[in-house]
Amino acid sequence: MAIDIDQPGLAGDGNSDDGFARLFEAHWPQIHATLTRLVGDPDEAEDLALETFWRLYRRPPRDRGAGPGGWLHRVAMNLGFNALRSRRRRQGYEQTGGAAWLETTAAPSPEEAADRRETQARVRLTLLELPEREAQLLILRHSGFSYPEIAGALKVAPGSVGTLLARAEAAFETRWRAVGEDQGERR
Amino acid sequence: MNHLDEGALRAHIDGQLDADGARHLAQCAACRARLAEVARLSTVVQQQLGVLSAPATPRSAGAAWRRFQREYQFKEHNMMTSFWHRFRPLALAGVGVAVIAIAFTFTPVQQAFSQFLALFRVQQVATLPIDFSRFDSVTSDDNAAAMRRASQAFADTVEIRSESDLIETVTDAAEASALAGFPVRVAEGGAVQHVVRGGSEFVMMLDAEKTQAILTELGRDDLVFPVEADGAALTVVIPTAVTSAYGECPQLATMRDEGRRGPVEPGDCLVVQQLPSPTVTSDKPFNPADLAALALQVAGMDADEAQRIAGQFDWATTLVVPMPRDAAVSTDVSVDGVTGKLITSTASGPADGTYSLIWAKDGFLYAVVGTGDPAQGLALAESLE
Repeated sequence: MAIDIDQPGLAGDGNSDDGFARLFEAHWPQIHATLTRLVGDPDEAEDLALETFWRLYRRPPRDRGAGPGGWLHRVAMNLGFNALRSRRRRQGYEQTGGAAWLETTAAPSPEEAADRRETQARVRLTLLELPEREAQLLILRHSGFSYPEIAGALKVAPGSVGTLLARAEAAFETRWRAVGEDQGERR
Repeated sequence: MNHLDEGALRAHIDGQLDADGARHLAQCAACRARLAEVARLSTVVQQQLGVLSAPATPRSAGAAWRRFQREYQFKEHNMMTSFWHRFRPLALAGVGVAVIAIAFTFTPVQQAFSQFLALFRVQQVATLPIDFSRFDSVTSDDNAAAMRRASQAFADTVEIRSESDLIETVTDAAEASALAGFPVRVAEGGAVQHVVRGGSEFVMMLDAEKTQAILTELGRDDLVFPVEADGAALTVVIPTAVTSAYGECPQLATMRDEGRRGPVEPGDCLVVQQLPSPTVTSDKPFNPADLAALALQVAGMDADEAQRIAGQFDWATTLVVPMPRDAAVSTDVSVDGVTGKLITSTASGPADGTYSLIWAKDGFLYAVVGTGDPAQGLALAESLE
């Protein structure tokens, strides 16, 4: 999947609305899709994506060399994970065994959907248990980002992405089991 | 060549292994055996992550852009033209002048704090009626390009040291306190929700030469930057703030909700905002009143009036809230054991029926914003514990 997150000419200067509109158009689909994967609810993802662009609009990063793609994804990931943490706290996952948490994602057919929601909840809880950079890395990779794009968004050396990814996947698998046991105990 | 490490093997799965690595892998049975294990783990994790799906139908960028323009950019634009734009010259020339948009636009005070504050340490609040019609020469369309260049020049003097990503909505005051790092005061009845917003720290370099160039850009080369302020580095710290909603309020966490939910009925929603006093420190002594006088002249006052008004305030301890002379009135009120300012919009103003109650106490800055009868806001303020 080719995602050109830093197309030349689209690194709109913050002073021109035309430039910003082009930049918005170019980056919106990726930012919104990635945030939807992360938080589940497309409406919430839209709010978070708009907040991301608003931050870019209001205060563009000083370092324009790399283009805004990496910056946008970094900020979007931060906002997305903040939203997940906030939701976890608000819904008191610890007390309710995840019931409220699960209700936040849409459900078509009863049983399969319930399974799917439970798995989604488990994935998100597992991600929240990881160091933030590892969690972000997994989401970006899962969203189809190339190694250079991931390196740009997370500000790591391109050559280290494989190593970081291997480590993140191993950590995910360990936490995944622990979260599953927690869920099992609560049922 | 050494055996491939897990990172290289993982990169191979994504087709990112270099040619040397690939050659080694082709010849090394041990590496291939380990590759199988890395691939298995990777497949399992990717399958688990696979349940997180992108939206079934992508949101159109066009629709999102229109919403952005309507709810975000328009707001910014409104603020820019109606207030911030007008006061950029104030801010760029006159750090020490606290510039808050409360009176004119009644934007959420928190947002105003984060964008406009530039003061020393707040111990009291004052209002400064301004005749906005006199700014028109500064903000006319002809001057828009010059304003933009001046704003950019201004922005270049500012270096953001830290900016928190924290925006959390919580319903529990204890939780809000823990997040904010100070005890959040709660009024009678308890707040429906608290929004905790992280602070920021930036450094602004005052540079006589650059400022003079900006003044020239604005067509005001008759004004002179106070030489003693040249080279001063001002460190502005805006602490984490808490916005608490009482009654039937729009969602506070993001501004979009205001637009979506429409106007709130008068009296239904009261918002209390609190934060430790923002501070400005300078590495070099100078008299902030000189900068304030300069700023007021840039904003359209004549030299004598600017000097007189700048001399009225203790700029080191006073949060000066500019308000439009023709659209808002300010009165002293006794609140929370101190004297605060109640700013009410007049019938002719753009924010008819809105009021802001602002006060400083014990190193904290407070504001209550509401619509309808200010007595409600005062009562709420008095019940803060």
